[in-house]
Amino acid sequence: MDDRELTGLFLARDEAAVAETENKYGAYCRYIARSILSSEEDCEECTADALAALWNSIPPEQPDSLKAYLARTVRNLALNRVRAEKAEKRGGLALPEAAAELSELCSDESVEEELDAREMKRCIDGFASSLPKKQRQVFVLRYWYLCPIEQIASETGMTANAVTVALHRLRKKLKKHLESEGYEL
Amino acid sequence: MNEKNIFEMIGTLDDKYVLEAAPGSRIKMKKGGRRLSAAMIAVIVAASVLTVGTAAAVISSNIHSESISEFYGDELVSKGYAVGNVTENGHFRITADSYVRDEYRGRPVFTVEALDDAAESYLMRLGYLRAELTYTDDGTPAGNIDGYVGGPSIEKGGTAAVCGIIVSQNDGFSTDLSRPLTVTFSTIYRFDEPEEEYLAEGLTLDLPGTVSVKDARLYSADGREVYISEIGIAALFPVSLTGKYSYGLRYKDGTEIGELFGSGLISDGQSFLYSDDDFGCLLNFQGELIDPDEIEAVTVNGEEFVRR
Repeated sequence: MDDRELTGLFLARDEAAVAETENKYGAYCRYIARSILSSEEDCEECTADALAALWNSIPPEQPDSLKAYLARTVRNLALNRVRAEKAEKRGGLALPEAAAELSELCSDESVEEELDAREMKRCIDGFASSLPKKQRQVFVLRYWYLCPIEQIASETGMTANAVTVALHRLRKKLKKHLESEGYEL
Repeated sequence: MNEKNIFEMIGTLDDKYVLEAAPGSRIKMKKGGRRLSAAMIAVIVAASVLTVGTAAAVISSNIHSESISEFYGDELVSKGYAVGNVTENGHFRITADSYVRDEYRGRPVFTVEALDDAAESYLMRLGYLRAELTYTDDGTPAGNIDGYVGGPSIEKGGTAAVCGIIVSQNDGFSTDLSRPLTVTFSTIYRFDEPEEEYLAEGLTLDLPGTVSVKDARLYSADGREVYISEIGIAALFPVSLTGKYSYGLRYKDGTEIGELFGSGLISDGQSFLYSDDDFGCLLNFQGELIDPDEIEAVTVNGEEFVRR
């Protein structure tokens, strides 16, 4: 079943959408979650939460790429989980939860914030597009998928040392790029 | 902008880049097949030379920038290291996209394209590409070349980027890298099946001998010498063939890249430090040419080599 058919199931409110998506992308979701969360149980929960989030958001959302939309959802949920755990350990109120509570009081994102977000996206996409494919893959695996060095080495056929060196250079390049775009670091 | 902002910014990365890097979206190459040990390099370079092919190479402007980028980033074309010589035989078309050399190594990048179904099936499992070298001007033997395929996979309908290596001196054999070379591809072989030499029959093209890169020489306290160029390091003193070496770079601005590991290869009193993992591309400098003018020191197993 391709992504268009899966999205069609969500839009038709057919519950098979969840099972079919899990069947096709469950392993991918767990892969993303595992890079961020330490416990397998958390990864499973995070995957289930992401599928539920898809069910709740499509419709009205109709993502161009269901796979990318799901990946983003898993990543955000996993990061929120880590932030919540850290806040709990500090004894404070979990920030995502607090933010979610406050967000009910607020209107949508301000125009300025939205412009900032758009500008940031343009900037990082510009950086990614300037990289050779292999370097970009290393960059995205490390800083988007948050993969450990060894895992990136395995994915790319490089050694851990080569990945470390590549990342060092990529960070320097990113710094240069951000500065050229007027960001102060 | 702080760490959190940058992290958030990366989170907004376009879907196409997220999907491009997604695991499982590529056909994996077999681990181990990509790597050649230094000992293997020595054997390959010392192998007997076959008869030179006669097919003429065709000069083409069809450079595959993407192939060059697999190994060198985007700098080579702008620096004039592009070549663009093409040869084909009905199964494969091979383009020499670029060629760089320093005093001790030559490193061409080739793009291999399949022209029929048999070649396509073969290409998807391509492991190494091997060729014999002769001097273009007089046809005398000049050594061998061996290359490995770039990137983690080749997709159906895709092409393979291959980076080769020519070592100037090895086991009594000497290649004068300043002379134009003719490359005759003898074998394109894959990991898990017998070599099929017939697929590579008649593939011959030329590499220029005029291109070279920036370099520098650095010395230890007792006068031993390390050669560094934009494409790698050569330790000009004996090292153990089977030894593993850690080495690092210190830039003039204080940045250090340390604990890179490589293998030693002795050849006629000289030794080369290879990172066996990155064999076939930019040694330790994967993805970027190094400017030797920016390097203040090189360390080999903790020992420092500096400029005089």
